[in-house]
Amino acid sequence: MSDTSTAGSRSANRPPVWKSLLKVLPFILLTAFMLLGGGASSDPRQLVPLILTFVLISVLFFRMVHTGRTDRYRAIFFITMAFCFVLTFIANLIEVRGSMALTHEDMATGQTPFCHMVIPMTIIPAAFTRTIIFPGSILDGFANIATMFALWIGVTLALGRGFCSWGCFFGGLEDGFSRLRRKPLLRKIGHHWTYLPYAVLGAMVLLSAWTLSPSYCEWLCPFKAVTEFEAVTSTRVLIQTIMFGSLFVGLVVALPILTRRRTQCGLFCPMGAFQSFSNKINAFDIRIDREKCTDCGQCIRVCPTFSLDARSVADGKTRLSCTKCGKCVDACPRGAISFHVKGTPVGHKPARARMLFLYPAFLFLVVFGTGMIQGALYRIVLLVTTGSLIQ
Amino acid sequence: MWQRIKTILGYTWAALALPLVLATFIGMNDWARGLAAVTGIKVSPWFSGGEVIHTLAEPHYQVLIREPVFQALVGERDEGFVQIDWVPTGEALPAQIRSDIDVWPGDGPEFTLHLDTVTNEVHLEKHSPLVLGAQRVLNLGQSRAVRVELRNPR
Amino acid sequence: MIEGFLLGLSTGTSCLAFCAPILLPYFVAEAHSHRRNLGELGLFLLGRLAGYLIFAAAAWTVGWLLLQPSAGREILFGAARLVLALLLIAYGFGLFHLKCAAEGTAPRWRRLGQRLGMPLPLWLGLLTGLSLCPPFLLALTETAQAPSLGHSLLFFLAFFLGTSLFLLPLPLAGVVRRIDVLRPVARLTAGVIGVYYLYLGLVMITEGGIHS
Repeated sequence: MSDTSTAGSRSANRPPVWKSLLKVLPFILLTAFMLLGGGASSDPRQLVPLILTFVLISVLFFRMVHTGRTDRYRAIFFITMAFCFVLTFIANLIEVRGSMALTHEDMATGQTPFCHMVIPMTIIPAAFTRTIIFPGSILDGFANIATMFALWIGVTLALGRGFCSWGCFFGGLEDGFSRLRRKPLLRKIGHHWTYLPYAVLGAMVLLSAWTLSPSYCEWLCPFKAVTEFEAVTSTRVLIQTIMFGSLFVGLVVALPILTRRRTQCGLFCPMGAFQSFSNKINAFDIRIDREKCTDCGQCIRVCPTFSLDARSVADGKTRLSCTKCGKCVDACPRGAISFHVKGTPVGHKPARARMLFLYPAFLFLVVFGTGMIQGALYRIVLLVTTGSLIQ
Repeated sequence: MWQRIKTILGYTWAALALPLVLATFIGMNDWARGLAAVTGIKVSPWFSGGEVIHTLAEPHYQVLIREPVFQALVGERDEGFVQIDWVPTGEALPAQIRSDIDVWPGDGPEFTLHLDTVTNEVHLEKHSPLVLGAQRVLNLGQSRAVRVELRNPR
Repeated sequence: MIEGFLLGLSTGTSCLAFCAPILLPYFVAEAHSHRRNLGELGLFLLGRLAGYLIFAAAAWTVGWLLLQPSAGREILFGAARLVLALLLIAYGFGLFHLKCAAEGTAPRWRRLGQRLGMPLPLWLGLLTGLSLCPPFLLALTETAQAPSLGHSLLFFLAFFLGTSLFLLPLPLAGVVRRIDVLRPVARLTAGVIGVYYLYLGLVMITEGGIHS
């Protein structure tokens, strides 16, 4: 069932523009403060992308508030950020290092940027040995370990697994690929596969504890295909390269296109599984008003991370893996699904709960992602003006 | 009554999300420094190579001998390595270097390394059954480093 | 020991997750006190440990008697590891199913136990300890290569502790629901670990081939 009936009723229920502007204005001011507070560069190649991005953010947030639709506008920024991150990151690597390949020298000197995906693997070794099993730097350089941990702790406390739809640039790639087709070609995915992320988490955490090395990064992480990877100097690394390459093509590109779902996030990602547990302590969740729900199953069909099934819908809530992307909220033809603040009755002032969530979530997304978009636009300007993406 | 309390607590908790996000970004560097200081966390020596425990001064360069690495989750592993660094004190390292390395002082050098800084090749001369082999030379700009694999004497 | 513990935790739980729902009703169904349930769980665990250690000793003895350290030994153990890793992958990803060894036979064991005056939980524990599921067989392969009988027994003790971790809250309420979720997760975890052991098996065969 399409959401035209919801679209129709949403149009009719839109607040006046001035009211939406009033709700959005504090956010615009906050964003301006966060992005420009440290002083903007006078270089037009940096300043123009920043201004353009700021305008985009403001328009998207206004549309989100005014139309009552969350996922569409979130996704525009989220996906843009993800692809811009890839462009910026790779261009930086080639500029600094000459290639995407990570050498033993880079690892020995702690020059590997710390990626959030490795966090679960580091916990047990850190508890036992007081060391981080990652070839990075604690406080020096770009994306150092302590800074990334501080960022992760903050966003986890604020958004729970909402990080996966309002922050993780890897998820943005899949989100993009999953929207290429109008209809899915593959609809049936066995329910038991939704437990695979927890299995991968368990296996990788235990393997990392045993080997004292970041096993997921070494063996399975598909996103090495778009960031950096160990230079192939042995058969072992060749096998690892084939594995991550295949996983990227399969789980991040092909399956999302075929299923219109975020298959890596929902069926594989151990960081996502780990982050799911934080939903237990998060203030926000998504709830279903059983009195309005007609069990049409539309929400189950659209959920990108398989976080809704017949059982959870009957219970009036999502599964633990919910990333709070808002797609089910937008898709429900009866308006039975809404953002919810824990402790409050279901269906109690859903618009307020939604705003309370959107402010921190979208603010995190834009502050986290603006630098990536700005960096990518800068690279594109560089390409146009000099013929090269790198300086 | 109880529902009212839960509602107030819920909204309070939810309202804290925005200041939390702001504090995360604004104070990120301070949070990071604080986290590092409180935990005392370091990078695993399997990656960093370990702390420097001896420094040998030679004309034009220094030889840094790091603490042997046998780190395990609990206790120590049976096999590990020791990293040796050569750092120039002048402009560049000599083309050929010979270093006798006494990892555990008291019974003479456990091995000798013959390093060619032009071809970045190293030849290992073992003087102890605890020495297993040498990995390839790490080219760290003007410096060089080698990890020599060892058996744990304990 | 760490390796044994982690292997038990990551793979052995899948075996237990299948046996536990079948076996537990035999000694917790009658609304006993927590103390009695704990006592019966203790006997169950003791029986399991006995089964594991018997197998560990047997596996190590066979390994020690049959093969001296050599390239051939490396290749044989590598091949065993490879086969068991493939079994673990097939089992973990649902290509075949296993029944709990005690299913259907528990009434017979109960009667035998009653005749011998042995507590049922002890017998049932021994049964699950002797069930030949792929993670258990993989642990046996690792044990057979241990440098001494002591190492072998310690490895299996650690393996036992790893598999038992999830059993500890069982005498308390709300467990069955957890097992519903635990079963698919435990199986898939075993499958993922199987992929890693597949790689280790290949490496062992390759290194054995090089040394020979």
